[in-house]
Amino acid sequence: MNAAATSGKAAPGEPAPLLRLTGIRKSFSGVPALRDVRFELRSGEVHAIAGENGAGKSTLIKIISGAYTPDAGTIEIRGEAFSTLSPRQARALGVAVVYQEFNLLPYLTVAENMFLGDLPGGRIGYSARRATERAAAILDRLGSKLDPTRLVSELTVAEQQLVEIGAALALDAQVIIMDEPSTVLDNDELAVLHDVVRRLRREGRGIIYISHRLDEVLGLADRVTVFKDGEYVLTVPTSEMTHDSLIRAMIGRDLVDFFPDRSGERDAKPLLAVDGLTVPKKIFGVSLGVRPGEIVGVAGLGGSGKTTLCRALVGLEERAAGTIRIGGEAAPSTPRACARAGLVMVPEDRKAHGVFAGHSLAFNLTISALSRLKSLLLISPPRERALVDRAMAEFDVRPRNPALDITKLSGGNQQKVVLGRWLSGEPRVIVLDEPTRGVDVGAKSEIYRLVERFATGGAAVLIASSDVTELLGMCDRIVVFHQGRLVADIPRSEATEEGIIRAATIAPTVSGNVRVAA
Amino acid sequence: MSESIALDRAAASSRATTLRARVLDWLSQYAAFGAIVVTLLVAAVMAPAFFSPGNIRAVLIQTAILGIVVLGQTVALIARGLDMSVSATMTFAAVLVGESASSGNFGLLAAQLAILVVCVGLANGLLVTWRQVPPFVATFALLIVVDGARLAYTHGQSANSAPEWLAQIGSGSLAGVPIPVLIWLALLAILFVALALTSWGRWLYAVGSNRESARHAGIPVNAVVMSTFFVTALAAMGAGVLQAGYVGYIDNTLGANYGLNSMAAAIIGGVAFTGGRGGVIGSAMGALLLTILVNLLVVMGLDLFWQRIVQGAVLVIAVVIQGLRSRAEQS
Repeated sequence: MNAAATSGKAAPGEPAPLLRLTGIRKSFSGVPALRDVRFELRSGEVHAIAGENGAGKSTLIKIISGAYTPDAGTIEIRGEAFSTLSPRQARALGVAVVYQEFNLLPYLTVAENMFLGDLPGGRIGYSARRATERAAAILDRLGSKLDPTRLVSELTVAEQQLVEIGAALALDAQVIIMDEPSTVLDNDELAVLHDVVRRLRREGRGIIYISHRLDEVLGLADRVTVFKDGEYVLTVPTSEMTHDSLIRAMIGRDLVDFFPDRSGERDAKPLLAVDGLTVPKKIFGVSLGVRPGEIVGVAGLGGSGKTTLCRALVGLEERAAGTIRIGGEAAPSTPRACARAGLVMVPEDRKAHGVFAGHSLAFNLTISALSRLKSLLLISPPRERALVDRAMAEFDVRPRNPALDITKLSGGNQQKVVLGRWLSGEPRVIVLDEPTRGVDVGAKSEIYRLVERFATGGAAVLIASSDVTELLGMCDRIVVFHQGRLVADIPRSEATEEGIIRAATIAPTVSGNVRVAA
Repeated sequence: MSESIALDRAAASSRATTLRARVLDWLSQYAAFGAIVVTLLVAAVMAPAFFSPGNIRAVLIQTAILGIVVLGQTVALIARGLDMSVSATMTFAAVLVGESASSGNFGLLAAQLAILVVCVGLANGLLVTWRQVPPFVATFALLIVVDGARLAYTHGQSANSAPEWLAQIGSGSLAGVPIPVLIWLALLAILFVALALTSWGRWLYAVGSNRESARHAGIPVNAVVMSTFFVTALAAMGAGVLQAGYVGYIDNTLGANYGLNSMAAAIIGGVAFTGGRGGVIGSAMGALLLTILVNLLVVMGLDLFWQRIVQGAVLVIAVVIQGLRSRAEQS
């Protein structure tokens, strides 16, 4: 171990890296989460960490930030070696984490949140003016015009994220860890975030960037380190990586067909027919049809109406005008009645709208299917167990422990449980809102295959997603939202990433829908 | 092959890491049971009079009456609600029964009791679902309104004796077991099964755990929340009638402490204030523990004020265990 530490020392003349971890091991109750892992961050570098859920990314971050104590290994920060770090020490050494869920206080101002714990003093205690000035200076360095006197509760998610980053700069953090910062952002906001990250890099800071979005990893980061099952796989400059080689490194095998094959023409009457659907202030005169066996993608920026459409289809948004028909019948106005009519919607926000935390996998899986489990008046435990076993196998939920609290599952497996809840009722029309957000690559591919199987079985599928690659890979047709209106309807054969993004970002010159395909 | 071993290991580890959480979970569900045993041991040493047949009988009947209110309160708490107005409903129901002693009109009494339950349940339910008033505020308002309505109805006249038939139920026995206890145990069994094995029961937990997820999952959230207030009102009405029969007379303070005590009992029994967890067995234990403690203090000849302190202390301990539990689960 000593040898490893000394051999890791920087050669004379070469500056020590900002951060170097060697031989890190960490187990939880005897199960290794990290095995002999190394990692290095240079100053002025964006270093992505990639790996499937459960690869050990979060554990590593928590070790760097002092939240976990490693069982073995050395942490070197600017040449100074430690075997353990406390959160306090890590902060003092200039390590800051921007978490997925923000730790901001909603009823304090931007400036107060940025300097929390170290509020600038004035003549009598805290000086709001000095805090505001200093916050404005930091935000300016980040290229933001955000007003530091605004309350955090009024900010968008993207702005809150900026405040978190600002707080890291207020501490003059040299090592800034961003844990999946892009999952909460739409494409415009993402561009802003990337700009901020590049500015931090220019200032000579080291940024550890964790993301499930491979295009982002390849486009933004200078180097990428891949973990798999708690083990270090490789560290390479991103210029030497492609999508495919990165996926191969992450899952340890080739994904020959990441997306299931979708070919073959279908013509039938639409199973889901939406005509002139309007939700006040959100979507206007939306018309589309999905035929049995067809997968239609819905593209668009955040706030363009994708999610509103999905919610309105099952009655979770006010339908001011227009009709929705399922196989010719008018769609009911509550999620419950829609499910009975064969239309289900799997919501975007798994944590807030999907899972029941603190309840078992089985509870979460069967909650929408209880009426099918009854014999006489009561739920039949054998029938319930049969459904749970079947669904766990069909949707490949791991671990296969029906009593496990749902929150102990990985994001991908939680998503499979939520999908299983809806799809085990064999719906005819399936609406999926961001079905693979925060889901690792392996689980993504499995979810695609599942959706494909339901489509092949004759279901009509509508997928709203901000991941254009996903839509291109999955869908027979892609419709595009722009500011609450459908502006394009593009068949698979003519769809390109560029064309979709252009339609989503540029207002159409012709008013009304551009109908490319019938 | 190796994959299945890895899966088994993962399952084993998840079991191990949740052990602490499980112990605390178990503790918060059944701590009341342990506390009951300890209290009985203390009683055996310090106050043998506690174990006199008459006293045991009194404790059981008082537990049963509190226990019935607690059943309703448990349902409300699981769905992340609560009902402060149970004490008013209890007293009003008792007053109506007292009046029927003179009129002897059963049909009228049944109608009056039904109207009381429907009005209170509907008012609480509509305020909480339709107007989105927090349950604490809505039911606290109803507590005052129903108490006021009773006083207006009786012109403040309180003391009334219970009708003979009711006194026989309230203090009678079947096969040596007091009738109120039998009624309580029957309701307990029904609710236990309803919570575990009906859609309604599962929906209560789902609504209490995450209301938005419940809405998306196709659960009729408003109907479920509404139902909880009918259950609390119904339970309170039943308990009020039984209490009148057991005590034999009706006065203005008949239901007085049942609002807070029923919530305390449920919380002590492991029902979470934050909704979504707990059950009727635990909260029944909570009711038994509270009743035994109060009775023991009386038997030991301690000042009445000590009761409140002890009840409060027990509640604090229960809440602390729950707090530790949710912390352990999050780590």
